[in-house]
Amino acid sequence: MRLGWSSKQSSQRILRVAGILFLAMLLFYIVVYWYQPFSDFWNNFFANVVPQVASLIAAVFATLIWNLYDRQDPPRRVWGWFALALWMWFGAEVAWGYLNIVAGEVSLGLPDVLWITSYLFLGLALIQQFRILSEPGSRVLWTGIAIAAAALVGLTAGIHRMITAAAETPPTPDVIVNSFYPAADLIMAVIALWLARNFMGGAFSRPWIGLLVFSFADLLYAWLEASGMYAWSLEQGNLLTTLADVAYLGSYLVLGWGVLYMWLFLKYGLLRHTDAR
Amino acid sequence: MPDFTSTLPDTHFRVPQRTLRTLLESYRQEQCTGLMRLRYPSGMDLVSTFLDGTQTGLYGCLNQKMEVIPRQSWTYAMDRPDASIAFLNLSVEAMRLARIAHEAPVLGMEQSHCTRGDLSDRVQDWAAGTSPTVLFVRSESVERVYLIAGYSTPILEELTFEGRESRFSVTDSAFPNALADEEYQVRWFVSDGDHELWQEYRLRYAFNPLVRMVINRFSQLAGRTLTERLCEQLSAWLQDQGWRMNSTINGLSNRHYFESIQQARNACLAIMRRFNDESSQAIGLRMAEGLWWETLLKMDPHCRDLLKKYFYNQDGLDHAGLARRIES
Repeated sequence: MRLGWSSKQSSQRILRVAGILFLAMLLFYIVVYWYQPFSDFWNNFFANVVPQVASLIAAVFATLIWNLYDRQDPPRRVWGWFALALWMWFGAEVAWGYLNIVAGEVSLGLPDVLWITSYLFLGLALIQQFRILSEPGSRVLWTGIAIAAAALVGLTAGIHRMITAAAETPPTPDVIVNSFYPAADLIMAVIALWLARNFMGGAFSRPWIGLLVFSFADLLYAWLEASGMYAWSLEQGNLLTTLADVAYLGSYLVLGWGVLYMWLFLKYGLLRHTDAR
Repeated sequence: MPDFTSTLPDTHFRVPQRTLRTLLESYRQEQCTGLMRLRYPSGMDLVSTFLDGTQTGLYGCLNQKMEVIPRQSWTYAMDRPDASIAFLNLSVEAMRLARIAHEAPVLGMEQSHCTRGDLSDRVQDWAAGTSPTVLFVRSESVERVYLIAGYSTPILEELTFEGRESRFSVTDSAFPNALADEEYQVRWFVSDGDHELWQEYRLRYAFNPLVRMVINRFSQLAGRTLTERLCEQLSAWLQDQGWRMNSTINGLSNRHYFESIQQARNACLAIMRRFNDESSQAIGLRMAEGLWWETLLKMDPHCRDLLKKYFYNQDGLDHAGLARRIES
């Protein structure tokens, strides 16, 4: 359907509609979370479905970005891995939500496998972006990868030690995995910050700003979860849990917004404003 | 420099002043680009240049030596009867070459008869040297003019005359290998590389690869589709500026005739700024500016120094960030 809008108008209108939609999702989530207006089942259902929809939006637009690039374009490799990671997140959200609705308590299992695998794909996406940006020699590249891997292991071990020492619990796979998430988020945040700074002011910085925000929100969530504060706060009906969960959804939406912005730019950007679409 | 138009056959013979004025008017109306040679019985010939019908230069030619006639004397110099006239249509690129061949100062001149092999060796020497050379190569029926900028500039401009036909092309220092294996009458004029015509020439051949490499790097970062759109935007803007330039994914095609090095430099700076304005929407201004500097560092030392001289050491550059990079 041709609406006779210029490329700029199309882009602005889509962004406006998406902004209203994302805001409505966030408000709806807060209402459901705080006031619980429906039955227990539906409250739980909506609280799970909204983040799933947010993660789905990010995954779909990342895939569309991947699809917009030519086969020979170096950024296509970045977005291939990035989209795969986002689909993993979506899969993990769906699996976690399903288990949460069916079983209530979600223990270590399929969602964690998907989340941990997604970090591998995210890592590959970030390595590709680093290669495009810095054109490093193989020695520099492998040194960078080794430093990031060592930092990940070191941070995971450090967080694990802090948690087990504070809670005086023996090391279990649960605690190891819960220690991995904040460590991986922290490293992801540092890389996302570097990428956002490189593309500062340009459309290409938006997805990385989204990833940066997501990293911090996930870091907060993962830290509360790993330290046991999340479970404690949930029992107390504390604001801390709400804050973490709302920030988590909000960061998904910011990531989705960033990816949508990038997709719109690739589709409509640098066109003459009179070009009707 | 010698008058390389001297072999052009006349088309009008011993015309009165009124006819000359009519001819000039018709060139103006038809927006002709090329050279007009006026041969007078006195032996003092004139060569006038036209760009889109506008007269851009007038040269006096006596004993195979050309001199620039100042604009205020054009009417007086041409207001003489009995001129036999020849006109040669040229492209803008050929006009730029002709201007250097006509106006660039001569520091030294030699001539000899060369075989193809001898010529090949000499061209390699001139191309690797630091002084620019204007080379005239004449065979039985063909006259060729070459501009050799020196500093191993990979591109040489060539203008070939054969009767009333002329052909402009770009070639490289291996061009003698493509000539017929015969003896050539060769004259070469060592010129002054600091003259602004050569500066403009060298700037052009340093700036074009810079733009090509920057566009290529942008394509690596942003993909082919966005790069094509960026080039389209840049081309539209170049046309709006009235410059005969075009931007594609393969670089910048520059067919513009700049009157001075200052005009050429300002145009290049404006192109850099425009590129930054457009590309920064995608990759941010910091990275857009960084692309130029990063690419500049990959160029050969001569081009790098030349481009730095024009774009990075001037107060007029509005990219303060770039200036700071140089200082650091």
